[in-house]
Amino acid sequence: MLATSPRKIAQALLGAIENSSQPDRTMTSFAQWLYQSGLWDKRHRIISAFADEEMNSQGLHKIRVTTARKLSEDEQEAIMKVVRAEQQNVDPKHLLFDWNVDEALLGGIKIAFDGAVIDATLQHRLSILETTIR
Amino acid sequence: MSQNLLVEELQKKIEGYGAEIKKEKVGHIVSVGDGIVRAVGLADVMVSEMVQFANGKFGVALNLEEDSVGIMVLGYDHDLHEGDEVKSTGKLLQVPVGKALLGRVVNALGEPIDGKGALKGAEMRFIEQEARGVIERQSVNEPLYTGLKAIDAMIPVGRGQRELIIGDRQTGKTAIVADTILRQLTIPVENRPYCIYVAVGQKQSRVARLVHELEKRGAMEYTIVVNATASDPAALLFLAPYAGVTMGEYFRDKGEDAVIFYDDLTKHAWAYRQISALLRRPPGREAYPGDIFYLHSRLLERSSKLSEELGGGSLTAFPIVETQAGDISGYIPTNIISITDGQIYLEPNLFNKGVRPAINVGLSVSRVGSAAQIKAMKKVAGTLRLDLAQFRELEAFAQFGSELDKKTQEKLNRGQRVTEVLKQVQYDPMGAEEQVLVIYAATKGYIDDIEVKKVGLFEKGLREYATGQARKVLDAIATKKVLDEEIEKDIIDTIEAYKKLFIKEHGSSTGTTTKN
Repeated sequence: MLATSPRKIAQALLGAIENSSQPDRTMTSFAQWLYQSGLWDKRHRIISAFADEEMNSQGLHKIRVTTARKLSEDEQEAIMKVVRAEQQNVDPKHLLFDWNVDEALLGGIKIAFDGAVIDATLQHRLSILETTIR
Repeated sequence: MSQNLLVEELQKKIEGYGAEIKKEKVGHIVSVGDGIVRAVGLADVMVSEMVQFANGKFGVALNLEEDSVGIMVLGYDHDLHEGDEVKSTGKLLQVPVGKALLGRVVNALGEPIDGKGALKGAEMRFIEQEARGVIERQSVNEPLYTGLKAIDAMIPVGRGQRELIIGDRQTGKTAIVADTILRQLTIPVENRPYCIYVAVGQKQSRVARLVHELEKRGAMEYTIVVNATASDPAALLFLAPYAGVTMGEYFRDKGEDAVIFYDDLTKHAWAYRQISALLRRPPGREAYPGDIFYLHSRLLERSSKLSEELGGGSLTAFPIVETQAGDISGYIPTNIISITDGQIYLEPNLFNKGVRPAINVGLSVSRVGSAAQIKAMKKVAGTLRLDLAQFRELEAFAQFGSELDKKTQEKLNRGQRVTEVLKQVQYDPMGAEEQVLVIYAATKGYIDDIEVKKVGLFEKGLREYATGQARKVLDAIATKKVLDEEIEKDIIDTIEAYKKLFIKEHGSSTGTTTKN
């Protein structure tokens, strides 16, 4: 288990890069440190945490939208409109939409943001139905 | 359920189904192992809140740290993976309670494991509840019979009391539990307490044997068994006593009586130590976490006798603690001794000498005392503890001296016979009236001239004689609960009548037999 969390490592790295005159060199040193300290296997988690920290520092919010099929531009626009209306206290420019397709959802839409999920997929409704019947 | 009813039920459920779309708080697993999951996200999760994993299993959030949440998995963690989603449910852990559980064997989550189908009509209650306040209680004033002479006479337990059973392994702790449950069979249904046996970390074969004995004798009708075996995850061992007390509180709050046995809290403490260590909580004395006392105090404080305004119900607790090499000054034993209202200490030496139940009367106590005894028993057993304590001292002394005065010799003789009378075989719990009769015979000297090795035979015969030919004496004791002149005279007549028959058949210790 990591002695310190990926988030803390990511925060430290972000701080180091922002204060560095040679960010490229900082990142190379970081990669070296990761390898030497035995945290190389955790690099994906740390990179993911770094991406989240970077977005947070710029006030950006990642909205992950998953559907069973690829959405048209009009459909994407409609969803973005609804989300922006829901997140009124966030500047629309700071909402980054990440569009994903997962056929296993069968239908509907799943929206994840800020540690919350709205799951209106057919797969989710069927699993609730299964529990209800059981 | 008939096929038509089943189809109707299914149709109702499907048509009534309305899955609402709602926002759920989620996190992701970052590590899994040994029944503990660490998750990130879940920013608003509460302590002891239930969370649900992607595979449908549940866990309880125990550690809320800066960057992650430590979750105890309620079950096995084999099919949980890093990256899996974890959802907050917004609910605290609940278990089923009610009469639907009587006669059933369930696990620590209240799920049936006896193959007798789902529970019907059970309510749900939170597993963690605050204990009742001082004003809501009343003093313990009604006896809870164990059916064991040594306990009911000298260490009487009342309804609503917490009485610890403590001793080394294989000293008869669970035997006391079995006999106490069986003793409740003889109590009329309207006054009979429900029994809950919580097995924590026990062998499955042992629990199966106990359940089989209770079923054979019809005691399972009013008993619930909560089983968290040695092979179950530590989370279930930790939760089992709380599930059991929640089931007991249901009866107490309805104005009825219940008795709960925790077998045993040593293993419960070990399970909690394991969970706390895996959650990286700082270890204290003997590697137990700092709140190990609170673990047991909040459990045992939930056993109480409620005031008449709240129905007068009670929940009596018999926690069991296993000591190592007779060390009752260990950390967990002393913690629980300080919480409970007395202890029954079982000694391996006595067990090996054949004194069973192997109760060390000197170290055992009931802080409720005679408030939990009928007057008849109080009268006959009044000085029994003191007499036995004196006898033990004299017994040790007598090994060194060869010449003893008459009084000392009489005390030794009496003590040996009283010790014999207090022995009892398993699965033979006695009613209070029989106990009064037998102890009266012992303490008033009626068996002083019976050979020590024949005292058991005498006692058995006296009980059979009283049940057969002198039933009215037993009924009088059971009804009046006092030893007035008339009853005492009847008791004396019964004992003397039987003694004549006994001596005729077996002779006395002087070797003489009465002649016609």
